[in-house]
Amino acid sequence: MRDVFLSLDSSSRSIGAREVEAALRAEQTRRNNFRLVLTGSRGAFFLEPLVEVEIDGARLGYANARAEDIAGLLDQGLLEGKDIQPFYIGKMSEIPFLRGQERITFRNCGVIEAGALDAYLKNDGGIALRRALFELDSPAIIAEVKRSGLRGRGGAAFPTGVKWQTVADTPADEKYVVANGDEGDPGTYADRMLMEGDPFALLEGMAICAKAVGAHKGFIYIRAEYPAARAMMKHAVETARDAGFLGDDLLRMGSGFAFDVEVRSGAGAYVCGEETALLESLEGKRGMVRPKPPYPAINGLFGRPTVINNVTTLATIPAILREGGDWYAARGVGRSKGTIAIQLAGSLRAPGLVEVPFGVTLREVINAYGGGLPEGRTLLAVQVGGPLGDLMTEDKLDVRIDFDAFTEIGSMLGHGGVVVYDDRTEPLQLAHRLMAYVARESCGKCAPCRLGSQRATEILDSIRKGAGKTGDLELIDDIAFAMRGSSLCALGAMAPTPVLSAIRLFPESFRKN
Amino acid sequence: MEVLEQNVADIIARHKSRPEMALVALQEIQSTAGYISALSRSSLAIALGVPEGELQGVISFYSELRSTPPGLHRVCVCNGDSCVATGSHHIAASVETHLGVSPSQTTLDGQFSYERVYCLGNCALSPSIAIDEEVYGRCNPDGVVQQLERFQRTTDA
Repeated sequence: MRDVFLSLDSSSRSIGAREVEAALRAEQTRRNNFRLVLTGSRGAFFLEPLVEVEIDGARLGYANARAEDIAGLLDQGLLEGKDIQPFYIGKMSEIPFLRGQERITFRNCGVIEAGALDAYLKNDGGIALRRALFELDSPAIIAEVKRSGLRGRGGAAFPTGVKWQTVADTPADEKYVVANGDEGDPGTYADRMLMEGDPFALLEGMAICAKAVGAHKGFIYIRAEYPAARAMMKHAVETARDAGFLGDDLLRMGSGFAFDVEVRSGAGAYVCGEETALLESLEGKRGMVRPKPPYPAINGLFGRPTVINNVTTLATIPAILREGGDWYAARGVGRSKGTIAIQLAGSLRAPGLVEVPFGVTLREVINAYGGGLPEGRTLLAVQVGGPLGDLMTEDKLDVRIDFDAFTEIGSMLGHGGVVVYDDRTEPLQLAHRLMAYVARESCGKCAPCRLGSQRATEILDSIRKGAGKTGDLELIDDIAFAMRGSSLCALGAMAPTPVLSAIRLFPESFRKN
Repeated sequence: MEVLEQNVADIIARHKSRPEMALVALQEIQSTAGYISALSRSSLAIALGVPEGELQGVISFYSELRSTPPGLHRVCVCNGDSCVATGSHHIAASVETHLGVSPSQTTLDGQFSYERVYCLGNCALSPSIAIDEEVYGRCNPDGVVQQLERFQRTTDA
C-alpha cells in the first residue's frame, strides 16, 4: 500500500489543506489502496496544498492541489506517480527550491509524520539522546556543542555551548531548560514550522541540554498566536512521556536521568520573546525585562541557573550530537557555522523557508529561492531580522548571510527573517507603523523606550498628516539616542534603527509639510 | 449577584497559594469562561495570596487577556510586516466595514470580536487573517467578507 503525504501545517491549512485532507480521507475510505500520512511543511508554501506519493523510496509531488482535484488525481494515476499536469512537479528532492538547500534542522519537516514518535525514531531520532545519556558526560556534550560553533538562532547569536557551560558551572539545587517559542518578530515562522512539523527534535534537544547542564525540568513557552504549535507540542510531550522519552528514567534503559517538560502559553506580548521578560512571564508576572547581569544562565527562572535557548537552536542539537560538532562546523563561514533557516516573506513570488549554509548572499536567497519580486513591482527595501532591523536597499543585497558580515555593514541578520517591501510601501508609513508597534509593545520598564517610542510615533504621525514642523527629524534623532543608550533590552535599544534608516534612505518621504 | 461558575472555582482552587501560576490560572479561566470577570479576578487574588491590583496588572499587560465577554467568533487581521507589505490595510478596511467595528470591539449582535494582531506566523502566504483558531492566507478584501459570511451563516443556522 502506497503512502500519500500531505502537509497540515497551519500555513498549509490557511490555503485549503484541511479540505484536501477531507477529500483524501473520503477517497481513502472508498478506494482503500493508500495510507494517508500527515506531515508538517517543507516550507515551499507556494506549492501548497502539496500532495506527495512515495514510490521506490522517492517522493513525487503534486502541487497546488485543491480538494476538488483529489478524486481526479487518484483516477489519473497519482498512486503510480503519473505525470498529471498542471500538478506534477516530479521528485521533491530535485525541485529547484529544495535542491540547493541543506536541510539539517528542518530535515524532518514536511517529510515524516508530524507528532509520530515511531516515525521520528525511524529517521535517526533518539540516537543523539542515547549518546548523551550513555556515552558522554556533561563536559563532553558541551565540548561537542562548542565545537559545532552553534550560535543562538533567536536573534542574538550568542554561542550556545558557552551558555550551557555557564549553567553547568553554576551550582544550584535546581536548574531549568527553557525553550523560547515566543517567535514574535513579524516575518518569522521557523520555530512554528519546527514545533508543528518535528516536535520531538525540540524535545530531544532539550533533554540533551538538560543532561549537559544538570537540569531536570524544562518549559516550552509558545506564543498565544500559535495554537497549532502548542497543541502539537502538548501532544508530543505526552507521547514522549508514555514512551519514556521524557520522565524519571530517560529512555528507560537505566540512564537514571530524569527530565520532564511543561508547555506554557504566552498571552500576546511581543516583549516576552526577550529572555528575561519571558522568564518573568513563566513566573506568572507581567513580562517586564530584567536588568542583565545577572544573566539567566546564573540567575534565571525562579532565581535558578537557566538555559534559555530558541526553539530552532535546541532542535539543531540532535543533529550535532548525532553527526558530531566538527561535521556541523564544516558548513558556513567565519564565526557563523552550520546552516541557517532563512524565512522569506513580503513581496516575493515564492516566499518560503530556506535552510542553507551560511555564506550565500542575501540577493541569491531572495532571487534564487524567493523567485524575486512579483511582476511589475520594484524593490523599496528589505528588512532582515525582524521589525528592529534596519532597511536595506538594493546596494546592500550582496552581503553574505553571516552574522558578522551583517554587523559590518551596520545591519543585523538576527533570526534570519527577511521581509521584502516593494514600491507600494511608503517609507514614512512604514517608519510610523514600526515605531507605533514598539510604542504598543514596550513593556514600560525603561522610560526612554516607554515614552520615547510614544513621542516618536506622535511626531511621525504629525508628519504623516502634513503637520510636520522644522526640527521634527532632529527630535527623533535625540529620542533615538536616548532609547539606544538607556534601554535594558533590544526592543528599546534597536527600535529606532529601522526608522532612522528610513529617514536616511528616503528623506523625501519625510518632508511632507 | 454574580456567582462563580463551578469550573472557574475549580481552577482557582487548583492553583491555591501558588502565585507563580497567576498567568496560567488566568488563561485557564479565560478559556473556560471566555473572559476574566471581576469576581473571578478577586477570588483568584485571594486564593493565590497576591494583591488584586497586582493581578489586574498582569491582566492589563497581556493583550490576549480580556475582562469583558468576547463575541462568538474572534476575527484577527494580521498587521505583521509581511502582511503590511502585501496590502493588509485593504483587508482590515474590508473587515472593519463589513462588521462595522474598530479594532478591539465586538459587533453589536455579539457574533464577532475583532482585533488586529502582530503576526500570525503565516508570512509566506500573506496577507492573513484568523477566525477563531484557524488561519486564512493569501487573503483579498472580497474573499475575507465571503469567509465572514460563511461563519455568519453557520451561526444563524
